[in-house]
Amino acid sequence: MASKRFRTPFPSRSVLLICLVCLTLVGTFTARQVRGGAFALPLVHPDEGDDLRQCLDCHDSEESDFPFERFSHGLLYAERHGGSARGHAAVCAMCHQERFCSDCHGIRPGLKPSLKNSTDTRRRMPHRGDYLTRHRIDGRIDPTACFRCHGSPKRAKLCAPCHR
Amino acid sequence: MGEIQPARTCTRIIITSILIAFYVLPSSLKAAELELRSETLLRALERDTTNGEDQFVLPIYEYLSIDYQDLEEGGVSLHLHGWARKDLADSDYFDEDGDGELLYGYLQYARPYGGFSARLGRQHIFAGITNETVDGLHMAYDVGSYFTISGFGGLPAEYSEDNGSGGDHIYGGRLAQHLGRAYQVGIGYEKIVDDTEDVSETTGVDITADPSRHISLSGVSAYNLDTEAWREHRYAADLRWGVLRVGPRYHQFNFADYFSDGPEAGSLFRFLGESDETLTLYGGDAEVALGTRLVLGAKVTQYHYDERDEEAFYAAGLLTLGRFTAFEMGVEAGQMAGDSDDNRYRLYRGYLYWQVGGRVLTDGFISADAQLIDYEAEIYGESQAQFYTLGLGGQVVPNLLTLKVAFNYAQDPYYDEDISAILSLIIEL
Ligand code: HEC
Ligand code: HEC
Ligand code: HEC
Ligand code: HEC
Ligand code: HEC
Repeated sequence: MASKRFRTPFPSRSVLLICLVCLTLVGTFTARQVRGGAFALPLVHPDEGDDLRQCLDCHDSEESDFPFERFSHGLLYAERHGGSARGHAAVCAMCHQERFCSDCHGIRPGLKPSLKNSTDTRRRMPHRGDYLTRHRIDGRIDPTACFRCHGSPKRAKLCAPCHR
Repeated sequence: MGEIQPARTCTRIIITSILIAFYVLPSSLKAAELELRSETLLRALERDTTNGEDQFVLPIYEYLSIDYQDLEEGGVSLHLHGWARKDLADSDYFDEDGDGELLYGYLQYARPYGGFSARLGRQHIFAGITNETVDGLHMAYDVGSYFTISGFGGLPAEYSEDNGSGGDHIYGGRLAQHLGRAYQVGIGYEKIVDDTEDVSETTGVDITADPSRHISLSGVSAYNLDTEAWREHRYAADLRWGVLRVGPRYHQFNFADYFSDGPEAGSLFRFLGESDETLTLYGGDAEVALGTRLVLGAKVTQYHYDERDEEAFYAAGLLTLGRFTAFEMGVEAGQMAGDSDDNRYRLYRGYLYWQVGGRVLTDGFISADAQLIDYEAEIYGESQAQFYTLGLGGQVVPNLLTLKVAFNYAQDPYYDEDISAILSLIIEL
């Protein structure tokens, strides 16, 4: 298949730079008038004290233009939140500081999430228990998942003692 | 092609951002709040190091985060989070690994209800096909209610230790079109250069759709512009009927295009990028609430490898009692069944989490976890791994100081009768 690569007359970096500058200018001058985004959201969700994970306990989706069901944290949410976070990071940011995510997604968090939060046994966390043994099998069966979190040189440093 | 020096690009980015900061700073410092969180972890374990067997290792970790922000009005805010480690026993156990990292540190400008946002500094970017830590600038602008355009540029933090950051840069952007809750479609682009060599150049689309209360869809397809072929397709749905939720998913990866992350890619994955394998993965998860206290869950995945013509199958079931209540417990059983014995194991787990309440400590709790894994083929002469945790903790000084301690016992192919402890002290101001 002879597919031709998409090329602009400028190096794409200059295009991006021009875009960034324009964005900044337009953004700064209109920031206070424009409301929008996929969902117009407050920066923080009110702290209702109760457990905020079950959105439908307090919100009725029928009367809203916001899909609360998508974000409701069910039993397996720890494994399947990716699809929602990818396009709606602002929703997560209403309730989570980034450090919550960086336990698992950080560039090099220093401790396995299940070790750093050892006492939080009700949470589902990747690599719980002896992962040095089990990772050989998980890694052989599906290395694509590992690559997302351990693929870059800095993230793979942890693996270097055994994988040169 | 005219090369733009990343250093120059960065300078420009920084200058632009300072200009923005000047424009918005005065109005936004009024009601800002400072939040400080320090989590100190002390671990005690015994390890064989180059100094001898059963050496005492006593690492202390400090995770510090600072957030300075106006929660209601937004404006300019500061967010920092990083960790440092010191081994109090001076063993050489961590010699291979670094002793600290800035996980993120950025200045943000954002107002509630959308419009425009900018982040400058080290940050993790999740946006469509992008999942990278960047030292640079990331901006998003809502063009009315139907479009959002965003762009980022700077140094790829994940590649900085790789012969330094000279010549490194990363940039990309995404244009999203959305219609309220109905759908969102994003088109993204991302390029990473490490030491002036291209690591990856990727484009792709991501979608989410919530056409009804009963259906949600998510997916992403990424195209490798270097190899000129699709890296991956990942799609999942979420279907809900009353107390039942079912989430089918389908993933496909072309190894030559997925793992082809340039010359300095972790050697660990490099050989995978040299294979012509296509991995297709289908399955899904389900959960059903039976009454108010019982939740059942299940997960299945079928893996198919075209080139090797192999299959693998994973299935797990779990049952929880009192999910989200003061006394929660659960059990789980899973099985990985690959084609050969050395790709097979069975996993069993049980846990409990009991919020004993204010009897002794505010928000006091006791927790426990037990895990047993049976390997079909022996690893280092062992066919079982056991792991037990007992935890307790609570707020020693309400709303200021929390103390947690966990004791672990492990018996597995790597460690024999391994006892360790981890103490964490959290201070929130
Ligand atoms: C304990 C009750 C409670 C729970 C649980 C809860 N919320 Fe809220 N939420 C509120 C309250 C109260 C408000 C502010 C009043 C309002 O705007 O509805 C709010 C506001 C919001 C808003 C902003 C609405 C607007 O237009 O300003 C969104 C979006 C939102 N919540 C999403 C969620 C999501 C997603 C979840 C689940 C992960 C969730 N909420 C769980 C009580 C709750
Ligand atoms: C307990 C660990 C954990 C925490 C905490 C966590 N995640 Fe995840 N995240 C995962 C796992 C596991 C996956 C699935 C990895 C895979 O197989 O792709 C994932 C996947 C994702 C993906 C999809 C990545 C991709 O390339 O497809 C995104 C986006 C994401 N998470 C965002 C977040 C955000 C935002 C937060 C914080 C609000 C967060 N995660 C918190 C463990 C976690
Ligand atoms: C309305 C508030 C709210 C919103 C919005 C929200 N979360 Fe959460 N989330 C919570 C709370 C509360 C917890 C429990 C935290 C804990 O256990 O310390 C939680 C827990 C989690 C967990 C851990 C689940 C587990 O079983 O261990 C993940 C992962 C997560 N959230 C990801 C996300 C992602 C990704 C988003 C955005 C798509 C998001 N959250 C949006 C309130 C929210
Ligand atoms: C959601 C992100 C994520 C995914 C996906 C992921 N990991 Fe990890 N992994 C981590 C984090 C975070 C750590 C702890 C890093 C640290 O110590 O700095 C870790 C640590 C490890 C360790 C060291 C464990 C130990 O006990 O020292 C191994 C081995 C490992 N991962 C292998 C894998 C393999 C194999 C896969 C794929 C099957 C995988 N990981 C998928 C986030 C992830
Ligand atoms: C203590 C040593 C050790 C560490 C640390 C380690 N691994 Fe491994 N890993 C192994 C061994 C041994 C195997 C099995 C190799 C074989 O079967 O040929 C393996 C296998 C794998 C496989 C399966 C593919 C293959 O090469 O056979 C993946 C993927 C993998 N490891 C990923 C990781 C990742 C990612 C990390 C770091 C987060 C990591 N490993 C850290 C020892 C280790």
